[in-house]
Amino acid sequence: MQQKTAARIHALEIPIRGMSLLIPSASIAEVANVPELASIPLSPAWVLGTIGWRTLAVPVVSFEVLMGAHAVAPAPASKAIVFYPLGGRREWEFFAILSASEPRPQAVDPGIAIAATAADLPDSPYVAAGLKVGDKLMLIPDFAALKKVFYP
Amino acid sequence: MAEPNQYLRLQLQGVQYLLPSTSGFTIEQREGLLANSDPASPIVAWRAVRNARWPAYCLDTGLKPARRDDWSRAVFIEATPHAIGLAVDDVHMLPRADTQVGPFTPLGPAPTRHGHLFAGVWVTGRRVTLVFDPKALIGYLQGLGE
Repeated sequence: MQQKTAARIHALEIPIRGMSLLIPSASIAEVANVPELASIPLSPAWVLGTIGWRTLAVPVVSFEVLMGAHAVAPAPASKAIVFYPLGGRREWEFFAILSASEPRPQAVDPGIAIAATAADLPDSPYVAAGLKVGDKLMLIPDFAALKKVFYP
Repeated sequence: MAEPNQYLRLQLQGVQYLLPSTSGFTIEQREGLLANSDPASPIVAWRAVRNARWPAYCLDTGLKPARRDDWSRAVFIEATPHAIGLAVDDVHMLPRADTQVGPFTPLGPAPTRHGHLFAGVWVTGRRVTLVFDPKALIGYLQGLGE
């Protein structure tokens, strides 16, 4: 008898304050240090600033602030998770989410991970779903919602 | 005379920005302007011209109107119906070959009806210098009122 084997999903677990995000590795361009954020005046509070990355300026977003928490300045262990541009955006429109520390690789086995229920998830339009791996809950961002708030 | 792709480097409270020279501008020393003594006004000084006067605004690091005393010049950007000024700590014309400005899209809603204040960026190593969109900057300053 032939058994179907679900492919493992290679992802990065991104620690943010009090929770973790789970991001497919393919959507991440680089994990960068956060030397100093240049402020972008008159931006929403969830835009922490911008970093120089290669020849581009990449805006750095606080996912916590998008979810309603207060902004926290980057710590020495913080990293900027640089994402490829969202679908339909221009090739240089990279953006970054600030992580509290170094992200961890996660090979998510669909046979082991359990989809979180609505009750497990924070009430936020920017969270599409969640996965429970062991006793850990990891949130999967809603990139369509992020695109709407980034580029209204 | 400024080349089309030259930039003015403006310094506001220690933060540097670029302004494309295509916008047309004049630079005035603070001493040549009439101070506005009204503390409730976002206008810090006026430039007297024939039968009119052009306002100059002072902004803080968040680009919000501020009353501060540490500015030395004002850059008056050509606009309709009249030029509009921005008080700066310092201003320099950058040689054309020195700047490589790339595209930049700020995130979130635009703060002016003319769009985002920044339309480009100059990255040198880790240093990021934002480049004003002249139309949006003019619209923003005009929206500050008197």
